[in-house]
Amino acid sequence: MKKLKWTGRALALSLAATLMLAGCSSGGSATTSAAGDSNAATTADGSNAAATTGDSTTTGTQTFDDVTLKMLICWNGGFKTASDQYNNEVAAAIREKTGVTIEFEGIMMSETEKLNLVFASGDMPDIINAPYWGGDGGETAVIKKAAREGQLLDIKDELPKYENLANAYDVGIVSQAFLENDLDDPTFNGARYILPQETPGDVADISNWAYGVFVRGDVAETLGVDPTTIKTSEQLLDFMTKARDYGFTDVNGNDIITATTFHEGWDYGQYAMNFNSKQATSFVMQDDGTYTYSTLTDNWIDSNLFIWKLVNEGILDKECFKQTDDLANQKVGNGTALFAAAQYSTVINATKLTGLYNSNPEMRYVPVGPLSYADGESAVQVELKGRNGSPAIIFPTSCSNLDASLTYINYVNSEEGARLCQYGIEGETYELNEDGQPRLIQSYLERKANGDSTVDDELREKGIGYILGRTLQADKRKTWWGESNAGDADAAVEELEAYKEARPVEQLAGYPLDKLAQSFEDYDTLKTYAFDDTTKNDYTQRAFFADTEEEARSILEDYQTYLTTQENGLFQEYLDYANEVAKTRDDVIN
Amino acid sequence: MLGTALIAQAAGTPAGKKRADLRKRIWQHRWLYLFILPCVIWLLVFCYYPMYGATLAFKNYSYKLGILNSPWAGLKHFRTFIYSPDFWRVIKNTLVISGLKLLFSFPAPILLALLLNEVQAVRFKRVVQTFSYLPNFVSWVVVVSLMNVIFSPYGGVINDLRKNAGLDSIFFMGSREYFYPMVILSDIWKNAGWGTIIYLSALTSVSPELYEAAAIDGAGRLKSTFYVTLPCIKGTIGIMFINAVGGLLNAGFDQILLLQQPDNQLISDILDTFVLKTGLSQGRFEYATAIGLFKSVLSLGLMTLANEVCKRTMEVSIF
Repeated sequence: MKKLKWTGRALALSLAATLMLAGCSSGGSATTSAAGDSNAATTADGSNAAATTGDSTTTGTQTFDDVTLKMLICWNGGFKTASDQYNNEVAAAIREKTGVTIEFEGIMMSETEKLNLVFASGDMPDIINAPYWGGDGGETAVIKKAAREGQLLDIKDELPKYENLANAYDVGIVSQAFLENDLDDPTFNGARYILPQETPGDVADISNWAYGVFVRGDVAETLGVDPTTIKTSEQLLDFMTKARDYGFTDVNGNDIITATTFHEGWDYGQYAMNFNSKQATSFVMQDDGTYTYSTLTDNWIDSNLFIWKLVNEGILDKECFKQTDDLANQKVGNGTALFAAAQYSTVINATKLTGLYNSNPEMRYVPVGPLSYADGESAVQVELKGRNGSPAIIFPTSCSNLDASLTYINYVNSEEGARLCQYGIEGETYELNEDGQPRLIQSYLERKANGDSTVDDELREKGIGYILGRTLQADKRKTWWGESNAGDADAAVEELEAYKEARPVEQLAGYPLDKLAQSFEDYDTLKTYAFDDTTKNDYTQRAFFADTEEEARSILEDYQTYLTTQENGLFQEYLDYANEVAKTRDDVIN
Repeated sequence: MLGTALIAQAAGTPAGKKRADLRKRIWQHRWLYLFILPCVIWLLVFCYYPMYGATLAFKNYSYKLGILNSPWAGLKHFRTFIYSPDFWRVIKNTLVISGLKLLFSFPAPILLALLLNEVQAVRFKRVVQTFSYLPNFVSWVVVVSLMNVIFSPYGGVINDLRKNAGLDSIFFMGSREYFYPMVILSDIWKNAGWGTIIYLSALTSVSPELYEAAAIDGAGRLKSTFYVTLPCIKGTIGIMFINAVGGLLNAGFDQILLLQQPDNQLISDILDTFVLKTGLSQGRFEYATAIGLFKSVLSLGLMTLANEVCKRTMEVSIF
């Protein structure tokens, strides 16, 4: 082979270098990003900003020198923010008060998976907000593991310094059971790692999620059915069957789907609400006064067989268990699905997205029922006294400035800070009414009342409307301002507010049995399979598609067998233990 | 000095002479060897360096202690997997899906390459080739989304046609009985065109004289294909077969995950989706690694077996 000339050598060298750089570029940028994340307390000019201008001992009121922090919003579905999180009106105003800016980042993957990834890779942000529902499953298990293994900062001695966060652990804001078993998990050895978030400041501040079954308004009218009279499963099935057979079309004249849900079957359980009872845990009391697990009862099988029937009779959308929210929005937004089960606001928003809400008001979805519990009592949203599980704000050891983080959160939890985050600048985006309560200016309210969803986008660009969602510790907005969200009082969706009254929040007093039973000796072994929703969903959803009712029943019974036979029947020991500890207190609820 | 003396001494022996020749040749073609460097570095960084992570399969992983310092757990995770009630079901599903792919998807590019090889109109051949490559660049997410739209029981093209013909609509994507056909057909659609590249290049090496000789002997196109073309590319087919068997337990993670529906769960849960569901999603990294390692060892065994079979029957092997 001829020797390569110098031009050839140069070409070879540059090609090789280019290939190497290309091969390493993604890894390189990831590394840079990781480093950037873990040392995210950088100023606008790129320098570190750990120094403060205030007295470091009076942390609750100190002001920092332009500290920027990263906060991971670990909730599947993303987190919409202003496109420029640093240069917007609200961020600038908060910075003026605290010297701190927080930049939020959402995720589009499973929360548990993301948390695992964050802690295992060490690529941690300054602050994380993630679900912390209590117990030992999913996200809670990961957060507890991270806390035990020294991946989180202890905030026990810090919280009392911040007046708006100091009462975060008060019973009433959080439940006694949540406090004892999860916030102060015995394995934390007295440390406190969790700042519970989205806890209600008062009963009026508890979010009513308005879950239920909803039907296209014209369907009920055409069939001559008053949907509010539907209370039982039989009545619901009869209503749905009539709707299926009538020959309705969607807004575009296409074939309909009788009933659907939103992403991955959320929330098909609403169709079977009539099989449930008012309870706060998965335990049910039997006729002899002892407790058993709801999954082991015949009622659980019957409830799932009802869903099987809906699928088998072509009523419930066969795609709904694996569909995305986008697809569900199309189905609901075009009126293709006659019935939808989820939160009412989600259903209404789907019709607003497509314009159906305004173009075809007769097709607006209206509530069915609310359905009753098995005992005939009207369904409600059950809550405990104080939250029994909540979103949690946690601070990984990578947090570059804990004081700055808490100062920021403390400020947005003050009335002044919260008003800034929710309404913006006085005179520009809101004004005070005669009661001294902030209200969006009239032009925004009118647009909101007309279903103009671009208002929210416009306000978001100013930094309004998203910060509180994941930073408000105790939600006092309703108490402060008479509305939880900007525009609620003046531009509220009437049907939504009416439905919230029809299916109100009800607080149950007492100590939940599932929390009490967490002290079971082999709980760690039990939790690896007994409270694993993935396996349970595999069985139940497989049953929904069985050819016959017998086959469906057999699959459901198989799951019951699986639960009771794993680990040499450990679950029965757990049930026995739960019944024993239930006798130790007189305020136990199921 | 001593080193130079030793090299000179070593170069005196036949083995040493061979090594010295090799070094000389490498130095002579150093500029060409430079092109291999990025690949070698890539291989070391992304394939060999992470291998130490396989030790996780024998540990109880702690976020804080990391892979190397976490405490040892012996074979606990392997035992958990082997004694899990899903073990045989997952292994069976993986082998069935891989076996079907080997049976139907593996020969598809060979067949397509042979057909393309027979096309005389060059421009037409190139257009068909180009179009057959395109699906390879479409991700499985897009492919399955398209399939969902086409086969949907609610407004999908296929079911609309069925309805117009007076037939009931079928939930193709969610029914057990249509799962395997959907897997195989979508796999062939996506990969067969791209797979022809290697066979088409092998076909260019077949001497035209052989076809001429076959024609003189009275062989038609079909017989030429069987007695000339296929024997000439059997080496390539053999190598590809060994690789395919090596990847037998990779039944196609993203494709299968996206095609999973409640009704086909029992037959669609393969090793990779099982790892995701019971390992990674729940943060049981050590368990997931154990299953992955188990799969790799089994794959190596299968590949060695296929290599032996090919060595004896087709006289080709990769080691």
